[in-house]
Amino acid sequence: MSEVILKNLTKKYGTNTVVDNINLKAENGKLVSILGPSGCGKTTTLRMIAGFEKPDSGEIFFDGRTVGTLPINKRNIGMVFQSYALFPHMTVEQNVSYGLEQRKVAPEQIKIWVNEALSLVHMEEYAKRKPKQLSGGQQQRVALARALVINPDVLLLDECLSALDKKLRVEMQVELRKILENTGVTTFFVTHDQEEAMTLSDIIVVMNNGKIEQCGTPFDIYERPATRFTAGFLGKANFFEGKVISSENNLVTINTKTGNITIPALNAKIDENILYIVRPEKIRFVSEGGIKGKIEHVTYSGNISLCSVNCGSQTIICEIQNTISGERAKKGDNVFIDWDCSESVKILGGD
Amino acid sequence: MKKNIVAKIYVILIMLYLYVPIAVLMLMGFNKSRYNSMPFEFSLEWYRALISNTTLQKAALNSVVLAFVTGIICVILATLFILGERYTSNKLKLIFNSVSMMPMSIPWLIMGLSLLLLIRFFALSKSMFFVTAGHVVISLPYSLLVLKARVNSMDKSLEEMSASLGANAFTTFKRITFPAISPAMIAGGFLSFMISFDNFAISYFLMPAGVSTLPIEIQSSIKFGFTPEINAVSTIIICVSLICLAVVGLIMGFSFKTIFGGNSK
Repeated sequence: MSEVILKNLTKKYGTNTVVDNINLKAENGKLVSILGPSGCGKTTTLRMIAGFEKPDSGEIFFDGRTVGTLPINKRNIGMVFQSYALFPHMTVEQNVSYGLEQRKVAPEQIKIWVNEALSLVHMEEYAKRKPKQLSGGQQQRVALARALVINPDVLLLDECLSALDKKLRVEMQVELRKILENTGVTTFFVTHDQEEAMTLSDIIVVMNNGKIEQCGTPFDIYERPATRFTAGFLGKANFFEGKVISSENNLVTINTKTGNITIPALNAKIDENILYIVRPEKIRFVSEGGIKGKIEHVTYSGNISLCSVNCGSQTIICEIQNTISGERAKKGDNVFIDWDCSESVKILGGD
Repeated sequence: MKKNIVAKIYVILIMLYLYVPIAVLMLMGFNKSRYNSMPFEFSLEWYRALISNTTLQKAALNSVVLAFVTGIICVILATLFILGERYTSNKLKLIFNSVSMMPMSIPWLIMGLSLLLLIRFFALSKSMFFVTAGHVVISLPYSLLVLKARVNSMDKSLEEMSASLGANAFTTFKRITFPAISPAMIAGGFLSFMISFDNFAISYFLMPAGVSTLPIEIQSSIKFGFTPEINAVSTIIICVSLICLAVVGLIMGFSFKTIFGGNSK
């Protein structure tokens, strides 16, 4: 268990900068998700922490000691790959023992710790099986036990849930969270699945084009996105961008590329270039006042319906809870929409 | 339906084309006639003659030893080559690949001749050392081919995982890489063994006086009019090869795929 600090970390492949001068701190025992689209540098970052890739510049610290010069086998990290990478010719037991054997732990002690690790992931009964005889979820558990049994300073999970089907994945998320809370190991979790990152993490790091877009709690990242990219990548968002032309009584009129629109937002300075982000579920239909529009499209998905409302200069996406059965909104309806002015997240200067 | 029958006949014809000569050779080994002629009369005479033919026995033993040593050397070289090659740049990889596969496309006759000229150029005398070296040159690509298919299809994260669990490079090779590629090593070695065992041209050019291998012996016996002893020895070789192949297949389970399918996972 240790605090992990990445300082000015950079990795280039030829002229292509994959990880561009990132700084990051993971406190002891926290679960940090690195979230981003494919090719954003998240896996490369993880592989640098593991020691599989050498950074071109910058440093990595575990508890204040630099590990940049340490080879992989001396770093004391636990790793779970997307493919699990269980050793196919070894039994579950042998797989989990492997790391302890390398640490020259006494055989009797290995037996005890391996049993403990397997019971932590509920796999004791499968100790004698080969990986081929296990389901995806079971292999996942074994891989996790193998990574945890060595009592690593840092646990690195590389898209390790993405190979499971949706239902199992959700189950494993909950369980993983529980296991990690019990062990208290500092964990980095690379994923492209925003929902997964939300459920699992203490801290989410959003990466794009090799840079960190935003770093914060799931709440911050979702409710207070710092960039257009973050807002768009995590969940749905409405964007209002342009120059402020008037602002009074928490109603701000913006001159966007497609025309003027007045939205509820905390007062802003006139002539300022601004980007407002509004989450669709913050928007409600009101009987009068607010923004007038016409429903262009309704997507029903059980608990909620997504409505596209044409408000003249812009189409606004609203999410309404289907709290009562029966149609609450239909195509062609004229509606008024409104939201609390504090829900408009302001980003100065646009992007 | 009609198409099906045509296809079957076609396959049978191909099979006949491939195996009739071998069948005839094996059959004639059991024929009493000295000139491989009909009528067929069963006899074990030529197998008996073989027991007392020490020249042929010695040649066969030479061939086996030569092929075995060649096979071992090829497997070791090929394994080191393939494992090391993964850590080079793509450009180097391309160069290595083409260079290492070249001996496959150069006629053995020319290869043998050039090796002979090389020995002459340095004023060295022919020896078993050079014969072995020559055999390694032509057999190595076959070991490489089989091993490359296996190593490239191997999940690289297994080795990374081993390292992350604290194993050094040697332990990782011993406990992870070797078990994963050993079937391909045996299959590759077996192929190189067969190539060397079968080789006439290289041996003919480089063999020191007074030593011979089975292919050379068979070739020279034709000059002096050969007896069905050759058939008998060929039959034995074919049987031994098939048994070897079966044993390898049984031990390794999936190595038949590695030998014939190229890419097994």
